[in-house]
Amino acid sequence: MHFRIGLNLHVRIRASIEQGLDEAEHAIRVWSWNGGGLLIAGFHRQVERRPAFGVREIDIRSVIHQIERQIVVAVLHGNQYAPDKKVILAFERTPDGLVITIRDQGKGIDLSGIPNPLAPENLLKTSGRGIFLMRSFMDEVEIRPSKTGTEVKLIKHVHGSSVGNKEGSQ
Amino acid sequence: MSMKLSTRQVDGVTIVDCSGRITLGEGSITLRDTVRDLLSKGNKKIILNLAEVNYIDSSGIGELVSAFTTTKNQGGELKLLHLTKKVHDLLQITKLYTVFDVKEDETAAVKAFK
Repeated sequence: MHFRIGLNLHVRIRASIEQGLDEAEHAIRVWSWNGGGLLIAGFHRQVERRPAFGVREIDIRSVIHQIERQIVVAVLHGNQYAPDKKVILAFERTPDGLVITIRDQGKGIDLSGIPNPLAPENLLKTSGRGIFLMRSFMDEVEIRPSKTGTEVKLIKHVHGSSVGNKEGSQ
Repeated sequence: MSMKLSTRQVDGVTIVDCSGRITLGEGSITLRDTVRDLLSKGNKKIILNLAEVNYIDSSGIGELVSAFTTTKNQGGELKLLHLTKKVHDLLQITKLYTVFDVKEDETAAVKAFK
């Protein structure tokens, strides 16, 4: 099944990081079925404009890739394409960095069932590297599975100032 | 940018020029279909030219592994050509760099097939 991230979503994520669109939650909904494929639309609502997150020094592109990847995982594996379930994406700028939270409304995942992708016996496996790579690109990754969904928190440390500081918002 | 593939023949070797991103549900399926199609038609010497691939996620890596093992299991050979730094780094941290036969020169890659 083909799965596409709309350009709109990519742009909105970038805007959220670069321009500091923050506060409350941005809900991403399953938008439509399209020829057997699934297209997800951008944000339900865009809340107030906040000072920029001040993340120019980090590799924004790789952060966006990780967010997009996790959104796809949330819709595909978490919500299992259920059109009535949402993926909630939230951004927060803390004194230490940028915190991105992605929550699905699925049944939760079993973290104990994920093998070490670097073990010799797993090297030629075709899956099982997602969380490992996420941890490689982000500074911290917290995964909280529950019966009502999985919450993944991606943290990228940003050295320097936080929201409201002139230097950080340039 | 989603993935685009085109194939060409050089001295009995099929070179698949890939561009865009190989990610979950996007390029990964395109790549899988292309390699399977090549193998079904008897093209068992395959080079994936990744020079224009700007991003691969874990599913994309899984598809590269799948393409590699599927080709090998059918008595063929698959090599990777022109890795970008990002893809190179990805293969390094996943310990797959030494699993794949990675080439930097197309002519040498074609000649390297037995």
